[in-house]
Amino acid sequence: MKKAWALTKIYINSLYGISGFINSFKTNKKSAFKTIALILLILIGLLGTASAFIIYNIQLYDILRPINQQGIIISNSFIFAAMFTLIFGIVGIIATYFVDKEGDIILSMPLKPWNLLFAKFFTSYLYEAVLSLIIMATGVIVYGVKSGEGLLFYIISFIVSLLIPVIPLVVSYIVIIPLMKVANFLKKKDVVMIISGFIGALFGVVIQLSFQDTMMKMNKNPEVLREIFTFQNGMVSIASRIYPPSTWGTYAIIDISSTRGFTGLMLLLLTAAVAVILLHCFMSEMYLRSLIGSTEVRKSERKMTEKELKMGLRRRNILTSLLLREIRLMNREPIFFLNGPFVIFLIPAILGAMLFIQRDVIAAQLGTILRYNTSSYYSTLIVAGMGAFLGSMSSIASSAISREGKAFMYLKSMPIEPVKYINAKLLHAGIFGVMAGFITCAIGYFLMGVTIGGLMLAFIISQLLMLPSFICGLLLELTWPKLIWDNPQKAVKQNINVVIIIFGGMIFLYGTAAAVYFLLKTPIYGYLVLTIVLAVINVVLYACLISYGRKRFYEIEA
Amino acid sequence: MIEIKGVSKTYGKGKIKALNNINLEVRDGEIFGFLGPNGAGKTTTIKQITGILKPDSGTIKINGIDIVKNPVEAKKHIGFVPDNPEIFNRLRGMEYLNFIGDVYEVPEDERYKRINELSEAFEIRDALSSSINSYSHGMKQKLVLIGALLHNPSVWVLDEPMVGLDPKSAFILKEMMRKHADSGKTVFFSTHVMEVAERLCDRIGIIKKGEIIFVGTLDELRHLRKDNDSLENLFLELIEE
Repeated sequence: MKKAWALTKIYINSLYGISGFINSFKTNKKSAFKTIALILLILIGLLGTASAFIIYNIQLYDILRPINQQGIIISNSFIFAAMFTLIFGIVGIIATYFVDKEGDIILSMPLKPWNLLFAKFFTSYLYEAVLSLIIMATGVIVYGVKSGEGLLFYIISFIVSLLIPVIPLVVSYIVIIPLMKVANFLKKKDVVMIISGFIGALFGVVIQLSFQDTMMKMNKNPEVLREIFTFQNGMVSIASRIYPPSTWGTYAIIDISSTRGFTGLMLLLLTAAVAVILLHCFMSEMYLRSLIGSTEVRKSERKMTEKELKMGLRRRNILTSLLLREIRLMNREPIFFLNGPFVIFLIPAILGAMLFIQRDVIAAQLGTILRYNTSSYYSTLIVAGMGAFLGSMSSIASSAISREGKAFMYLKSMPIEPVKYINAKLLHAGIFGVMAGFITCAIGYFLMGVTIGGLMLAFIISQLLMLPSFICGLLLELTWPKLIWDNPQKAVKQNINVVIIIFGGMIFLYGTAAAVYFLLKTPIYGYLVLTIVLAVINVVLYACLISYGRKRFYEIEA
Repeated sequence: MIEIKGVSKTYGKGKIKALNNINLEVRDGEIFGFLGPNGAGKTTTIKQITGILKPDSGTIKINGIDIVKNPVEAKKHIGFVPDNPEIFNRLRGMEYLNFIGDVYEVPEDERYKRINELSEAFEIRDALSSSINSYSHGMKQKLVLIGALLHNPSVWVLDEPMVGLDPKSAFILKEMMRKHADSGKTVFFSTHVMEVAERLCDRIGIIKKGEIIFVGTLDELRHLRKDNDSLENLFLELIEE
């Protein structure tokens, strides 16, 4: 166990940089404060989303309290946390499956297969546990405060929250390990990593769809309805038909002093422990085999003909060449792809599924807007906003220079005009921004019934709305690039610039939405003013970027 | 030709002095070996010659063009091999070379001719369609070398170029360096291998703690030390003083 813990510590430090963070308090206070600022920013950003859940839960509590079903708030949070940890678990496991140099160094050490799996499992678990705690807090705090619960309630909630990610994580590993084994066998690690990402997202969407579908069917079943309204928190037990641990956890939290509460906690503990033991007993060997030779890459065995060499050596203008290099480097590195362009496809898949399921509710809400007789105006702007949100989530621009890593210094030795280099980065983000625009227009067309004319306007406005986030992302990257990293994750996931742009972009969109709602109520005037104002903002920002980048490019030192 | 005048460089907001007022001239038609212990400032000097780092003070000119004032023009004259060939691992060998060809504006025919010749000489032609990720250290070094020589630059700046090369490739590179210098062009390279410096260099420069402590031919060094010893011993004596 000692060896497993020692390796776990190495993984945690390598992936989360905790030692480096503690050490920076002594050696580099500026860096330490930057990390604290990053954590605070993430927390503030999450607080915005969490407060929406809290408000929703408060309203739900007030509705459910008279019929004694308020426990559903806890089981809802439980299922939500489990679902999120499953989706993020799969993507997270893929991203951290092969730690840099692991294949060369760690495998040469006298470690048992379960040591290796445990270390990686625990490292993934930490991230998932934080996620679970945040999601559960939105339900637990509302329930606890409103019901006037004591300290024990919060302690049990904390324990249950820590137990939630265990089963989803075990399931994720059971899905991913065989896939990686195949990837290793085929020597197509990168392709399988990206495919696994899609499978993971699909898996999450399918579970979500089937869950909502089952709940809807149950709500229409008279037997189930009788059960719900006869028993206190009867709705909670209904959830167990979909995911039993949610009922165990919920009863443990809301009623620990009762037999069902205590049994629930014990069952949850036991299931989590058995799941972890079984995973380590049956999957450790396969996990090890999936790592062996993971650094090997299949080489082309075929000899290159004269014609092929000639064909491959086509002269392009420097901007095209820089852009091609950008796209290849980002999309061929699974960690960059999964944390970047992949988001453009992942979010619409989840959002699309949610919109499809709740289309009746959304239609009703849109009906409220109809009273202004300007529904198409707002629908168009909602599509534009969604497109802009999606485009700015790709992190392509806000990690553009950090992704280069140490190679940026080599690039600087080449006769490349900074302006062309920056434009290539901007174009790269723009291409995926256009894709995001098209995807959201498709959602707008099929699910919201926006007209073709409206979609064209939505597309233009979405591009104008997301461009400032690209430009600001590049400005931040030019100012604070993160060029020294041993794991590509650090250039995207642990990059403060990415976090600032995601949350800053959200604030910009909220601000624009508020301005439109209060100031631009008529369509023609609204479209015109919005387009002109955004165009001016973009022109000014672009001028600043070019002027700053031209000078700053040469000043960046690793 | 490389001219370095009064160049200083500090790191950590002036706390660590990496280079202190160095002056150096690498002439046309010579191979110049740059020697020094680890951390002496060799790579910092090379990074400034190639425009990767900006000097705090002083000037660096490549064939008369100031690298700070006119970086793009100056860099066109340089062929650079960094000390670590870990670059653009996700590209294929051929994509990398084509990118370099685009950056240095090498015409298609010339690009094909040079890549064909150099990749045959360094025996990596068949690996050009594979991902750089799959290359060994030595193969990456060869690829970077081909990239550095693709535009037929007049000034070669090579940071530890022999590291990772097999004996045959190292021999070919040394021949190429000699030929390049003999055609009136400049080769500036750093090395830790004294034998290479002894056999190959027309002149050497020794740097210690950010200051140039010797510039001249090997004979001049022997004359200075009043000793007919090997370069290795002379170097060790000099840096230990």
